[in-house]
Amino acid sequence: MTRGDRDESSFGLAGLAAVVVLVVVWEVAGRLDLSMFVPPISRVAAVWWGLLGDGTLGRAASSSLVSLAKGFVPAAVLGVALGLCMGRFAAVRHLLDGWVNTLMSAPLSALVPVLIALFGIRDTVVAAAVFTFSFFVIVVNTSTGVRGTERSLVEMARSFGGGEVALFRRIYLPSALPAIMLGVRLGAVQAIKGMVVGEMLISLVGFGERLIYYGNTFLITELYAVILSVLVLALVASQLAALVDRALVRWK
Amino acid sequence: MATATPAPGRREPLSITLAGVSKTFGTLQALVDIDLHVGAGEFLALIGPSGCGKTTLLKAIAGLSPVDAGRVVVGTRSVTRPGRECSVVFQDFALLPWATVQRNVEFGLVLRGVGAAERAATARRSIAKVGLAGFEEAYPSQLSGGMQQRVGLARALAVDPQVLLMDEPFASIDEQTRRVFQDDLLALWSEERKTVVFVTHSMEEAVYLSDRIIVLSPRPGRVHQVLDVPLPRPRDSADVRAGLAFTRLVDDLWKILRKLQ
Repeated sequence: MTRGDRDESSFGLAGLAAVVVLVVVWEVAGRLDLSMFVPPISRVAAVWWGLLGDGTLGRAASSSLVSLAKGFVPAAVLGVALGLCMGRFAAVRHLLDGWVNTLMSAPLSALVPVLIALFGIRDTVVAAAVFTFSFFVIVVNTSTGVRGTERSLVEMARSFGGGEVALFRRIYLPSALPAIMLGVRLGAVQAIKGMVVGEMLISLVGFGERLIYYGNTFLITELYAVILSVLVLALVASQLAALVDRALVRWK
Repeated sequence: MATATPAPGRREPLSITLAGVSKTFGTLQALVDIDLHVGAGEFLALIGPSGCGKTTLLKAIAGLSPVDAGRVVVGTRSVTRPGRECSVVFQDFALLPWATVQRNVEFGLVLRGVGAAERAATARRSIAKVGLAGFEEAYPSQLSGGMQQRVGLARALAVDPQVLLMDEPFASIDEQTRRVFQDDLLALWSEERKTVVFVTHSMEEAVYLSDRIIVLSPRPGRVHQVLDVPLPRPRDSADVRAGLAFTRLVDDLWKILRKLQ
């Protein structure tokens, strides 16, 4: 196995091997019937296929994905915008840095009841949770990226008469892009966390509702099938963000 | 200096005048009462110990760092912000790492609102001028330091400045590459007729390139001495470096600088 510089995928051959080992161990443990909480993975897969067939997963996914989009897109747009401002203007940074850093590392699940109080028990809460979970990490990464901009590039652009708008568009933004994309990638993973937490707490819609339902009714195999779906969704979201990252930041 | 008639549309070089220029950073007096005149088309070197305000002076002329007192005049314009007369070549090249050579050289033209087609053509000409034809689509990280600074020079020339401000442009380039680059710069200067202000640490470089050398004294930065360089041009063909006059000028410069250390 060769691991060159280009091997930046988090899901290379070694990762694949680890998954295969896990699947085999799981299957064996399941067949040994050690516990009702460890059903064989082959049965989980069969149930997953069944849930997909009868539209359960499709319904959950469509509701979840709509909330995900409704929360994540504004979080990304506003997060990058606020991050750019914080990175560029010390006054804005000094005003907000404490808040943003606190909220980035805070256990945001605790805030979801507040969101429920604000928005009522509706799927808007899920979008709000998605937003809250993903927003701050995007802000912090963007701001850090802007602050890492080479001073000489700024000076160079100014020497050619570049004003504030040109500096933003042609220096700060492209210079911060790798950091922004990292923030978006981390934010996408956070967004899925927010989605599941929100859905579980209001337990009305999406994957979260199914998780709570199967958990409460001890349908463990179905529960695993839904958990696996969420994991796949998180993986896909992260890989998609990585793909966009590589497309935008080809020069690195 | 070139006597040929300038190419059509080419702008004439401008003189630079500094009168009573002072600049303070906090409690540090970077420049005190600088009076200086640079003739149109002159090649002037600024030299002095570290911290003498060479770069600050250059940035004041570029309009990047406004002065606290006194006046900086380029041509007839009193400089308070960057203008179209000057372009700057930076010590660390200041190339956009995400852009190709072509797009880096177009950058100044973009900021000055030049249309895409004219921009592309002008940039290509400028790239060819500095000897980088064929490297248009390369990224800066794929080039050596010397080549990167050629991109920096091409970008500065692309906007056809009347004044070229160079901030220790060859400081991080190895000796052999630097000598070739110095000759190329002199050749370009004699063709293009720009006023050049060239900040350097190197005594040989100052003597080899310039018409006149300004020695700045440190903390606070003042004009300590002005040294004329009456060496014949062009300097690359004649064995200027090996000549006695050259050695003597470098030695004079060293004697002045040693006292300032």
